[in-house]
Amino acid sequence: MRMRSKIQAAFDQIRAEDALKERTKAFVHVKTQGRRQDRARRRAFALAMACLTVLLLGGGGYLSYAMPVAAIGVDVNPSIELAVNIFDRVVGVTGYNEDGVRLAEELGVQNMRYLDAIEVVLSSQPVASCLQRGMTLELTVACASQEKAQAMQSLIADNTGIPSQQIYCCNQEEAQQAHEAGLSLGKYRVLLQLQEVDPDVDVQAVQGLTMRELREMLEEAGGSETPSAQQNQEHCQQEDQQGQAQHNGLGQGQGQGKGQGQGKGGKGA
Amino acid sequence: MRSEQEVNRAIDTYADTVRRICMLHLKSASDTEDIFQEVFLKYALSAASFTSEEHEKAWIIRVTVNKCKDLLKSVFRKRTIPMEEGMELPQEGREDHGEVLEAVLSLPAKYKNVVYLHYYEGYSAVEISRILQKNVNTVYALLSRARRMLQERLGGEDEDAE
Repeated sequence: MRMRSKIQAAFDQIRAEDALKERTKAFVHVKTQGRRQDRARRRAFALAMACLTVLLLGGGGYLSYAMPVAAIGVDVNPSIELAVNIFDRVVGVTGYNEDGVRLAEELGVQNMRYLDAIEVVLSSQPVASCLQRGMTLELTVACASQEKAQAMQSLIADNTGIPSQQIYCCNQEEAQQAHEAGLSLGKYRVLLQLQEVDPDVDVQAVQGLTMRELREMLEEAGGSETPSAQQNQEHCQQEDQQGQAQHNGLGQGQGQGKGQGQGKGGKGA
Repeated sequence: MRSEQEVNRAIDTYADTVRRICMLHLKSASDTEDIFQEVFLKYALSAASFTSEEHEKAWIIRVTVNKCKDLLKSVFRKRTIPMEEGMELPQEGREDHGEVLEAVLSLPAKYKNVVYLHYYEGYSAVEISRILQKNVNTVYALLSRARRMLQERLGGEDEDAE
């Protein structure tokens, strides 16, 4: 018999006992069970943390997307306001009179870039027909950051061709007061101008009026009319840099001289 | 970590191989059981992926040989039960092939693995050099000397030498 055959025959007799195999299986099972549970727990924890992170990021992203940081008031006869988020997208449309509410429902500018949304508003039938009839269009940009408000004002003017003197800036406090009074940004601003010359004028007196009627009312009362673009710009800068009391005094002085000259020209056109 | 099913399959498949290697080196049943536990626990926890059954078997053999070496080197190793007391060698096998087994077991430790891997498992010298991580020429030399020693003790022909 050859050596290989002898060795193979000899080693073939050596086998692991079934009891040894079973004890080994039981031992490995016991030793790995804890680790398997730990691993399952770690996986579950990691999964939970991943879900939480996704929720937080998603929730945070949604909140930052849905949160308006600026508003653009469009006043002609329909008075509407576009709420704009940090990504320059429209996240809300509010109507401030009957026509405005109807227009807000029809527009479909949600999530649109605000410049595109303004184009849609201006080309909508109710606004376009008002403009054709020579009604006064005013846009008002409200933003906590006056720098951002100025940038938006400039972009809107460049993009739409609307003269800068018809695009106003206001601060967040004024915007809030306008909302509390239930007026659009543009109408509230004219109301403030009216109240300077006639303190008896209140919100109810101006609520149903169009911008044109308001302007005429202001003119009759002897108040300032549409300020110039430069004045608008100064208005924004002053609100950003100076205190409110100082700003009011300076704004009035400039508004009287420049505003009247241009306002008459505008009316005649 | 491998599943319980994988581990049980490996134990069923490779238990005899591990048992034979343990027999080459260890003299007690409890040491053999320790090696079984360590080898298959390592297998259960290992992330090693195997390309074939042969690859997996070679891994099991290498781990078993290394575990046996470690156990023999361990200064804490106190339990030394004579093989005859602890091992349950088949009586029939011992009667028929006792001389062959004794001849192999009587070889110096460094020859036992190469003899078993070459003559029983059928590995070539090159494959043995990979499994045991030894120089291939060393494996050839070990095989040659082991063959001579076994022939002296058992007689018979060796087809490898022909």
